Amino acid sequence: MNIIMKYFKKGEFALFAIFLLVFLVFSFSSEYFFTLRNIMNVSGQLSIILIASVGFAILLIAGEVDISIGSLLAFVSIPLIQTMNLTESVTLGIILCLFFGIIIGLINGYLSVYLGISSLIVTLGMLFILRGAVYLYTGQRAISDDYMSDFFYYIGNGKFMGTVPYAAMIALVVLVIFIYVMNNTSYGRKLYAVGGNKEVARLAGYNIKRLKLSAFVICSFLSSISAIILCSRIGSANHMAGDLFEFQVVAAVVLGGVSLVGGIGTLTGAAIGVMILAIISNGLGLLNVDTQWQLVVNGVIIIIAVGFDELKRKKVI
Amino acid sequence: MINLIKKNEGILFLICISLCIFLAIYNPQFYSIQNIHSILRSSSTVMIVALGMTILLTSGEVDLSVGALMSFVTVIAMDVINVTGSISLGLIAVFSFCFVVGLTNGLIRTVLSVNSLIGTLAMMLILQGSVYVYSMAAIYNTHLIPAFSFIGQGFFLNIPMPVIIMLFILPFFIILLNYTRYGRYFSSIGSNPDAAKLSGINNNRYKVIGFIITSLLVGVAGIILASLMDTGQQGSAKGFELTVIAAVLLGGTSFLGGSGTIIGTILGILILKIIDNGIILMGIDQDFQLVVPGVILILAVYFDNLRKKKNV
Amino acid sequence: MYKSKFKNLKINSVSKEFPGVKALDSVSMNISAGKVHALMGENGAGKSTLIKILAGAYSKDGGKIFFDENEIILNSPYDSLNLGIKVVYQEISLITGFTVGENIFLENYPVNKFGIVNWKILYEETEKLFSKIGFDINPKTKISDLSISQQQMVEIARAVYQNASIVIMDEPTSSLTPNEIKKLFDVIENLKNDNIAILYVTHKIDEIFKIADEVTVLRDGKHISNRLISDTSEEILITDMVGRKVEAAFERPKSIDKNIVMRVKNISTKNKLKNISFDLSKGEILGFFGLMGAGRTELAKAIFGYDQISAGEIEINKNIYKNFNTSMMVNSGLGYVTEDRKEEGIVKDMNLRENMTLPSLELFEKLFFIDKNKEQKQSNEYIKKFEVKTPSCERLITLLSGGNQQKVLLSRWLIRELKVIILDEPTRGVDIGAKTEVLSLVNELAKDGLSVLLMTSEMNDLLNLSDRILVMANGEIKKEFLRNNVTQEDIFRASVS
Repeated sequence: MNIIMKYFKKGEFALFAIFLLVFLVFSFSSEYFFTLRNIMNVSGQLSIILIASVGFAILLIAGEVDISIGSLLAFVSIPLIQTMNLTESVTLGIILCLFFGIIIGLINGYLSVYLGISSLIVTLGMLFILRGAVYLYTGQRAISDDYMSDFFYYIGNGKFMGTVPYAAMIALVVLVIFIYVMNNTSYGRKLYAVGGNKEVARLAGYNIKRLKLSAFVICSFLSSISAIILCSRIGSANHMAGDLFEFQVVAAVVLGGVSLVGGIGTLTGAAIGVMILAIISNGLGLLNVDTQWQLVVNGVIIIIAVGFDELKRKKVI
Repeated sequence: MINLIKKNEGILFLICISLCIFLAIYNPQFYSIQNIHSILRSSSTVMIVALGMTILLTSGEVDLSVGALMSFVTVIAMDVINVTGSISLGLIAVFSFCFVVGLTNGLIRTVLSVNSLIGTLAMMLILQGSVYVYSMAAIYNTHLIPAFSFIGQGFFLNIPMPVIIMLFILPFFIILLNYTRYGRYFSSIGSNPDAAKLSGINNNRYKVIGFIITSLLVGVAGIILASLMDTGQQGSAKGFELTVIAAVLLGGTSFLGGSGTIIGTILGILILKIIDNGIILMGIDQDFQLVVPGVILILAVYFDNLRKKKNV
Repeated sequence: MYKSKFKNLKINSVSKEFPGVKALDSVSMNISAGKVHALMGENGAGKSTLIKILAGAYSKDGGKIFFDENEIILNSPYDSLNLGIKVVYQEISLITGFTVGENIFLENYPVNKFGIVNWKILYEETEKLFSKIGFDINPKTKISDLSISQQQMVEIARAVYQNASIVIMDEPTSSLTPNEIKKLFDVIENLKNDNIAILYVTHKIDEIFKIADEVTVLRDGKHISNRLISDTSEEILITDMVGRKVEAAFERPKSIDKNIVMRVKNISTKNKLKNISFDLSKGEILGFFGLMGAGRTELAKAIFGYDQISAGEIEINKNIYKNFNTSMMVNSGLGYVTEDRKEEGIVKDMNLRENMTLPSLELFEKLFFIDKNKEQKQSNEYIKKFEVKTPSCERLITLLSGGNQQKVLLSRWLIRELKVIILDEPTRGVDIGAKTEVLSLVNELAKDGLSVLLMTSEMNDLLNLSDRILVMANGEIKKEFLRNNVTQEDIFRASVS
């Protein structure tokens, strides 16, 4: 019990308890919920959100935000699929996809940090610019994966030993790596400091601009990985991919205790937040509730989570 | 003259004229009556909401849910009028709904202390989702009441009705912001909330009022849109909030306090809409219309920041 | 942590001017290694300015500073930090989400070549540091879980961990209990043994006699004395701090009408105020004295409705207020000239006229429209009355000098028909001539029936104008004095008890 307490500091423990609660509720409400098939199904979709959420949470901790990741998802899918179609090389496709992701991260970061435009505005604008670019290029049609490599298919759909999806494993690896980085490297700690108290960080000699820029890049980079998995699962670069994705990520991460003011929250918490939202939407789907409700749920969760956070900060609660 | 050019409105005016001249040369269809009417109509709905958004931005808040609300309004309006056959009931339904949404946005900001960027973003999600819960399919005009179509498609003295409606509302807001004490209140709340509070101003009350006004204006714009489309369409106003905010910022109103002018905002809207129109006339892919407000938003805020830094 | 090689810091005739006020006027002092040097003075004497110059946050206008006989120029905080000049302010500057140990090592985590933090070494070194200083806190505790005094200790530890030569402590005991103060003093002794110099800035005389070796007194930006503690006494220091000619007093009525206008009953706030009660009569000028942190501004804000009170009530002309906001208070005839005019007073995007009329717009309304002419007339009246230096009332408020802005803010309230006005440092940044005008106007208004809560650190103004003086400290009212019956020393002593 002590070990559990040590790993789950106060906040995360509460979150995990909520997760178990929701899990139990749905297990009893729907007979399909607690089946292996369903769980594996969920973990496939969950990996996509989880990986992007890790990046988003890291950026949030550093005190900035990127709400264009949904449009980014669609945007980087294009070089991925097109390259594979044209060159029949999955590796090249993946490299270009990640490359474009990094470039967008650099642009977002440069505009926000070096030009001083609020990152919310920059990425709000980018949200539309990237989506528009996707529509322009694709003519509002999906680009299908004609190459159809088995390897590429397995990324998103394959299962290790027939049970554990590769996608989930990728997500887990990403999560573990970045949890370690954020908790145990000077780089990760500096990101926390920069988001937590910029002045103190500045006086400690941290290069704030460079640190924040790197966080933008990590966010886009990880979102690009999510894009790869998504394309693998749907077999195409879909112009509508990632629509409203950023808001699911925000809701999950904020629910997981990562604060919008920066410097507060953990990746573990964010991950639990993702899991909670994922099983809620899965459970609701199994109970035949409209998917449109998910948007509503996301919105309400954001308000409650942020409100709670704010009121706690102001010591009202 | 130099002074006029240096001022924000001067620059906007020049840009606007240049665009018009360029497009007129490129495609004479630009200055056809139908085209001009079309530009004026779409500019009017933006302008109506921009009036409310100006109040909000001036007082240091923002409302990102206006697009989603507007789409929702088209659905409600069409549905209620279809079912009841009465425009009045439709109006009552729309404005009650808008009032509640505005009030909620206001309370989320003042009671829950959630900053309005996030709060109205969340409201946007909620509205986008719930509109489909209200009705999965688009709602077509089955009531065919001529008065309703007249709202969006009609003319008065050869001027499109939406413009008339806008011109009807406009003076009220010009007076409100420039000649009554409420304008001063909103400005001071945005510029220095502590000083405003310490002057006896009830900040929270006016913020909530700002949100309610904006949502009610969205109601008006939504009804016009429903009339123009002859349909209640979920998702019809997607991205609308971006255009409104970009226009208001272009017009000189700033997040950091200080309000721009109505003329500035009008010019900003015209520029955005003329660019939209030009994209179609020049045969450029329509999806550029998504890209443009995004770019302009970033540029507008960037230049606004520069301007603020220079003045400080 | 190593023994510092620093020997001394010589400050020679350092001056610093701000628009309208000379904050430091040829101040000289020497700070020696291994000694505690106290810096004393009233509010506004120049202590903060001197600290900021030493910290590299302000640049000096005149004079020289010598570090170990080498002249130094401090252009930025980095310059000071590199020399080992560290400041521990009253506001905590730590990363609250981090642990104690992490905050100590913020500048240089012990890492291997991959950047991975060696937590074991980090916490071990922190333990070592703490035992050396004499501080016992688990280095793994999160800052947010520590008390203010413990956070302060962490700040000090952080300051001395790397090359510290001088540690400047700004009012270090303002939020500490006697026990915590004792712990702090033990730590300071340990620092002395490591040859570190301490510049101990405070107004608490008794502490100085417990911990300091030397003391410099500042008054009105000048250094009045540099003494060895062993050679001086409390009386001498108080006289140094306060002693100046008292200017001609304003004529106040012999006795004040017992017509009570406002009753403050047992108000407390969550953070500072404890059970404050007093009555205010019509036409009375009630002075409040207190040093920084005493709670005067908190009291003003609580009475005015800006901050919520957690207990108590206010009675104004038979109306009782328990839950109230600024709107209600303004409507019941209160006015408040704030201390911080930049952040809480002026609305920077508005001009002089708009700033002046802001609380009173309903007076200028004619059928929903604001009568700009009336506004201009009124503004110009007050511009003339106070001799505000401006080409017109349409001038942007930020273009006015501080003193003139203050006059505008004062006019803002005097335009109204007030019952009570709260003045919080009303003459700060205002030149002598205008000061007298402002104060004499306040006197006249009081004679006409306006009641005044006068909060000021200007001893002179307090003694000249007030009918009664309430001395505050630590959120409470400590003592009440009547006019004519009190000296500056009495007041000062009451404020530090």
